[in-house]
Amino acid sequence: MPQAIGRGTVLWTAVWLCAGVPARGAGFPPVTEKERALKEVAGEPNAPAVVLLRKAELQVDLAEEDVVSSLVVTSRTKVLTEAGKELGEVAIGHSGQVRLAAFEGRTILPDGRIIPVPKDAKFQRKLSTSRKRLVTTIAFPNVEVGSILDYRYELRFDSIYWLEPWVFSERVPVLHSEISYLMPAALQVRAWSRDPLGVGVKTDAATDRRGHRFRAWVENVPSVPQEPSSLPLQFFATQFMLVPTGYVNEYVNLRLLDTWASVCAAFDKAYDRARKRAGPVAQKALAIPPAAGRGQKAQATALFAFVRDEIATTEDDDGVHLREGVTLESVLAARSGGSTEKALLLEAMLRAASIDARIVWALPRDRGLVNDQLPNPNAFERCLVRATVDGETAYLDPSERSLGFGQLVASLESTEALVVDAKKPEWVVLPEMAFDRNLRRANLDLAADRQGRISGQGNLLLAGHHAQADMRPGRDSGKATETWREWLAGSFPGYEVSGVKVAESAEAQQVHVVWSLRQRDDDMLGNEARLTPSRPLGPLTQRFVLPVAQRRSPVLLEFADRSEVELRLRWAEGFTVDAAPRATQRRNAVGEFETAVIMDPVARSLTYKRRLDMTRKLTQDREQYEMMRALYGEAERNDAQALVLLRR
Amino acid sequence: MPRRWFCCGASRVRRRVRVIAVLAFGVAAPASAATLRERSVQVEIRPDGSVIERTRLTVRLDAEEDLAAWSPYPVSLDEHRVIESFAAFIQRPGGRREELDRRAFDTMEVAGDPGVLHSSRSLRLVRFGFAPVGSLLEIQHVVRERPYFSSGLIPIGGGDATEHLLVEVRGGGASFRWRLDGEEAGLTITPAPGGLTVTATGLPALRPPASSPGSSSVGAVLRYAWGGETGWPEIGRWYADLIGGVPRGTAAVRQAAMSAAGGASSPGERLAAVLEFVRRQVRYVAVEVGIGGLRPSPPAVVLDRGWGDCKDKALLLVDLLAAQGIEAHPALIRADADDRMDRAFPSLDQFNHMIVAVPLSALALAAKAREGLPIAEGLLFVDPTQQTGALRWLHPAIQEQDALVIRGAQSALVATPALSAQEAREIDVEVLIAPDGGASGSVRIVLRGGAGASLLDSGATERPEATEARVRRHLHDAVPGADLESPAWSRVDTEVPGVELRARVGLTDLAPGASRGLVIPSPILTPPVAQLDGRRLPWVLAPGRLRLRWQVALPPGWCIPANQNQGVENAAGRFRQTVVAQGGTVVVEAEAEVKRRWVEGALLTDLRDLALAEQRARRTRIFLDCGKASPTGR
Repeated sequence: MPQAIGRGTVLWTAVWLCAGVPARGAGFPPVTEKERALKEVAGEPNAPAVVLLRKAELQVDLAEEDVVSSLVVTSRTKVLTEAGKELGEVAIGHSGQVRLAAFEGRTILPDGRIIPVPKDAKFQRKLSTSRKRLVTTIAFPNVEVGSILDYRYELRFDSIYWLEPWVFSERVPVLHSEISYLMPAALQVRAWSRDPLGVGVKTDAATDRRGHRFRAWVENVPSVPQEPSSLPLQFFATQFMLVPTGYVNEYVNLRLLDTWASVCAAFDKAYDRARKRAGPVAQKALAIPPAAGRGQKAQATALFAFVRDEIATTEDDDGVHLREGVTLESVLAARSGGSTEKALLLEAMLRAASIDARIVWALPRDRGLVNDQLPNPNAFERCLVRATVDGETAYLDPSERSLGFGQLVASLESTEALVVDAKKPEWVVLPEMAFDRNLRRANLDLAADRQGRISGQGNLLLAGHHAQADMRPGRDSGKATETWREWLAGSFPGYEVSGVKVAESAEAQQVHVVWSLRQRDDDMLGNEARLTPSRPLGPLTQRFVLPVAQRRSPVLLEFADRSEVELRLRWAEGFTVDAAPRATQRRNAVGEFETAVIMDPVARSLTYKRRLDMTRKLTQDREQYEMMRALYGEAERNDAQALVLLRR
Repeated sequence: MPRRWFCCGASRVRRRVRVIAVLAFGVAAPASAATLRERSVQVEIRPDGSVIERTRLTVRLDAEEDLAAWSPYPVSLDEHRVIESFAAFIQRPGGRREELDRRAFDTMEVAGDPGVLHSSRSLRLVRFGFAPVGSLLEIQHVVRERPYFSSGLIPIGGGDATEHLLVEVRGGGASFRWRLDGEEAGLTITPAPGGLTVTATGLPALRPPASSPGSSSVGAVLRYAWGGETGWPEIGRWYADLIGGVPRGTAAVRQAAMSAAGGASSPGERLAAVLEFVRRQVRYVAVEVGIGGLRPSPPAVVLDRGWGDCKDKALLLVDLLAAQGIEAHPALIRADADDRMDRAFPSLDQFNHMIVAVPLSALALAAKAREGLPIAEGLLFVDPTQQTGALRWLHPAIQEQDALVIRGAQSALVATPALSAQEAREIDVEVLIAPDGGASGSVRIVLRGGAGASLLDSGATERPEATEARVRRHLHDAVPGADLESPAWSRVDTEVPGVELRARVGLTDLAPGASRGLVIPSPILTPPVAQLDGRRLPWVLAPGRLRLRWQVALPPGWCIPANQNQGVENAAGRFRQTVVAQGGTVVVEAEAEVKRRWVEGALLTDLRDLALAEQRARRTRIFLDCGKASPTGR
C-alpha cells in the first residue's frame, strides 16, 4: 500500500541524480566509435566534459504487502579538457530510507583499456548519525583527457513516491538523457515536463502485464548557463517526472497527489497530529504580553516575536514535511524547530489568540520554480504563516531573526506560494517591497578648512532589504559599531572615522549609522582638496561587463533598490572648485541614474546629489540587460570623476 | 598532537578560522561576543603514549548572536582520537541547570577541506535549543588520543573574553618542552616537571585588525612536545622513518620515469618533463584515513590509479626523479596565505603540505638559468600540485615559508624565497587627451603569477564569454571609469603563468577642471596607510609588483609639466615614479614592489613609508595648464 510521502525518500538523492538506465542487471553499454572519437561539442566551446549518456529506471513494485521501489542510474561522461578531470569523483547521497544497493564504475582510457573502480576507491561517510544521512564517493582511476567515465548505482526505498523531477540538463552538454518508469497497473500517474530551452522531450508509454511503462528522453541538451546574477539551474533545465495521482484496485480507490487539495489534505493530517499534542501552547500564547500598541496587531506581533526569537531555528532539509513524532508541545519544550515546526507553532499561538492564521508553503526564487499544475509538496522548501490581523493580511516568517512582522526575505518576494487548505488550497503571490523602500541613503556634511583639510559628519540610513542584509539582530552593540567603523574606514580611505553610532531595528527594517570624518595629515595635499563625492555608496564599478551579445541568461538582482548620496561641502576662503562631476541623468525601463552639483560660490559651498534606482530585479529581455548595463556604466563613469578644490 | 594534514593544492590554502580551530585544535573557538566564564583544558600524557584531554567550558551568552556561535558545538575526532565522555548543560536566567539529552548530540563524518574526497575525521556535535542572553552553556568532554607524533597545541585566547583560564599539561616526562607562540598578556605560567600550568583571569576578546596572521585570532598558542624529536633534523628523521615503510622503487615507476622524461637530455629538462607528467597524469584527490593523513601512498599505487594528494604526488615525483638519476627530497611546508609556522618550536603539526626540493647540484644549471627560480640554500623547490608555472613559479602561499627538507639525519629547515617579481601586474596606457579633458587610446595589461594562472585557468576551463568577463574586470580595475572596446587576451609565456590583456579605452575626464589636473587612475599595491598606524601585529601581504606606464599625448595649447621624480626604497619594498615630458607627450611611469610576505616590527614602518609614497603619488595631480605649477604639498 502506498505509504506516507517522505522527503527523505526523495530529496536527498536528487542532488546527484542525473542519469538513466537500460535493462537491469546488464553491464555498461558498449562504447561506440562515435563516443571514442568525440573531442568537442559543437556550440559548446571549452566544455570540460560531455555527458554521453544518462539513463535512469524507476521501478515501483507493489506485488507483495510491502512496497519495494528502486532507481537504477547509469551514467557515461567523457572528459574533454583538463578541467573535466574534476568529474573524476562522484558522490551519491543516501540514507536510512533510501538505501544504496550497488555502486560501480570504470574508466575507459582513450586507448580502449578498461579500468574498473577498485573497492578501495569507494568511500562511505555518515553526514549525520542521528538522521542517518550518508554519502558514498568514488574516485575514478587514471582519468585523463579523452577518458570515458562510466558509473552505475541502484537506490532502494520502501515508498511509491519519488518526487524529484529527472533533470536532463547539466552544467556540461548532454548528448542523451533518459528516464523510464515501470509502475504497477494499480498506480495512476500523471506526467509532467518542463523544457524552457526548447530541447524537445520525447515520450512513449505502454502497458503490459507487469504494469505501465513510461519513457522520456532528450537528445543534445546544451549546458546550463552559469553567469553572475542569474537565475538558478532549474529555470533553464529540461525536466520530467511522473507523479502518482491515485491507487485503484478492486478494493481501494485512493487519491494520492492528484490535486493540490489532496496533497494539502495529506499534510494537514500530519500537521494535525502535531497540533493535537500542543500541551501548554495555547496557555503560553495567552500569557505573552502584547507588543506596544493595541488590538490584534500588538498581540500578533508579540507572538511572532516570541516564536522568531525564543524558538531557535534549526537548519534542516525537511522542506514542508514534519518529522515523525514532532508535536507542538515538543517544539515548545525544546525551544527549537525547523521552518515547518516554527510556522505550525506560530499558527497555533495566533489561533489561540483568536487571530486567523494559515500555513503557507513557499519556495525561494533562488531555489527553483513551483509549478501550480503539478501537485508536489516537495516543490516547496519553506513554511510561512498567513495571518489576518485587524482585517489586513500579513505573511510571517518566524525562521529568520532579521525579519520583522510581515516582512519576507527578498528571494521569496513575488513568488507563487500555496495557502495550505485541504478543501480549497489557494495560490497567492507573496508581496514585494517597492524598490524605493529598499533604500540606502547617505548624507554628508563636510568642510575644507584653510589648510585644505576636509572634515565633517555623515549618516547612513539603510531600509528594507538593505537593512535586512546588514542587520544582525541581537548582535553585541560594540561589535556592530566596530563592524560599521571598519566599513566606513574602508569607504573613506585617508580619513579618520570616529563617533560611530549604530541603531538597528528589525521591526522597522532600518539601520541608522552616524559618524564623523577627519582627513588624515598624511592625506592632505595642502593646495588642493580632492574627494570622491559618491562615497560611501560609490564609486561603482560596472557590474555587467559583458556586452549584451555575450550574455546568455536574464539578470536577477537580489532585489530592486534605491541608493542616494547627498554631500554638502563648504570650503574656506582662498579655495575654488576646480573640477566636479558632470551632471548626468539616464533613465530607462530598469532604472535611473542621476547626479547634480548645485554650486553657491558666494557661500563657498556646493551640494552634490546622486541617485541610482534599480526599479526591476529581473530583466525581461536582452534590451533590458543592455539598459541595466548602461546604468551601471554611466554610474561608473560619473563616480570616477573627482571633486577638486584648488587654492587660488 | 599532529592531526592529519590539510593537503594541499596551493589554491586550497585559505581556510576559515573556525575550521582551523576545530580541525587543528580539536575544539571550536567560535568568534562571538560571549564570555567564557571558565575554560579549562587539562592534558594528561600517559606512560603508554596515549593522551587524555579534559575540557570544561562555561559560556555566558552576552548577545543573542552568541548562541549561533556556540551551537552546534563540535569536538573533532578521528581514528586515533575518540571521545570518552561528552556532556552539555544549559542554565537559562532564573532557571535551573538542565542536562541536554542524547537527542541534542550528533556525529558528522567530515571529508575536510575542498579537494579531500574522504577522511576518517568526524565531529561530535551538541546543539543547544533556545537560550536567551544571560544563559550559561556548560560543555564537558574527555577525549583520548593516541598521537602519531608526540606533540600538541592549545590556543590560549579567542574571539570571546575569558574570565578564568586553566590550561594544564602533565605527564610529559624528562623530554617535555613547550613554547608560547604569539602574544597574550596576563598569563601566569608555572612550569612543572613534565608539564606546565597556564592560568589567567580577565583575558579580553581578540579582534585582530585586517591582514593579521590567521593565528592572531587566538592570540597565543601553547605548543608542547614530549618525544625524543627535539630539533628539526630529528623531526625530519622521524618523518623519513614514517615514509621508510612505504614500498618504493618499483619497475613501473622506473618505466614511467623513462616515459615521462622522453627525449629530455639535461637534468633540468628531465626535471621539468617529469614534473609536468606528475601534474598532468596524477589528479589531485585526497583520501585521508588514519595515519594516511600523514603517510603517502606507495608511488606505484599512485601511478597506477592516477590520483593522489600532495604527499602522494610529491613522493611519486621524488621516485620518478630518482629513476632519472636526479636527487630530490620531500619537503614538508605550511601552505598558508595568511600565516607561517613557528620555527622556534620544532613539531610536525605545523605543516600542512608537501612539495619537493631538488639540490641544484643534481641539475647542473648554468648561473643564467638559475635566475628567477625558487631557489634557497642550494635547493630548487617545485610543487607537483600546481597546474601551471613550470619550474619558475611557486604559488604565493608557499613563498617565504619554512620547509623541512626530509633528508634523514641531514633534514633541515629551509625558507622558500619570496618571488615578488613573479607576481607582477604591468599596465601600459597610451591615450590622446581631447580639448574637453576626455581621452582615448589603448590599454595593455600583463598579469603574471597567481593572477595570470587564474586567468589562464579560466581560459582553459570556462566558456569564452566567462573569460572575457574576467578580462574586462581586470581592465576596469586597471582603468577605473573607462569605456572599453575590443578586449582581447593571450598567453605571454609558460615559465611563470602570464597573460596579456588589451583593449581600446575611452575616458570622460582624464584632466578635468580649469587647471587641467591629470590624475592617473590606477590600482594601488600597498595597504591603506591608516591601517598601518600604531600597528603591532604583523601584516601578511601578497608579495608582488605593480608597474604603470601612462603615455598621455596633449592637445595643442596645453602645457608640459616639468620633469618630476620621486621614490622610496627600503626593506619592505620600493616605489618610484617619474613624470617626463617627451615633445607633446607626458609619460608617467610608476613602479611599486612589495618584497616581503610577512611584515613585522621595524618593517611595518618601512611598509608605511612605501604606502604613503605610492598613495600620495596616485592622488597628486599633474597640472597641464600653462599658468599653473604643480602643487608642492603642504
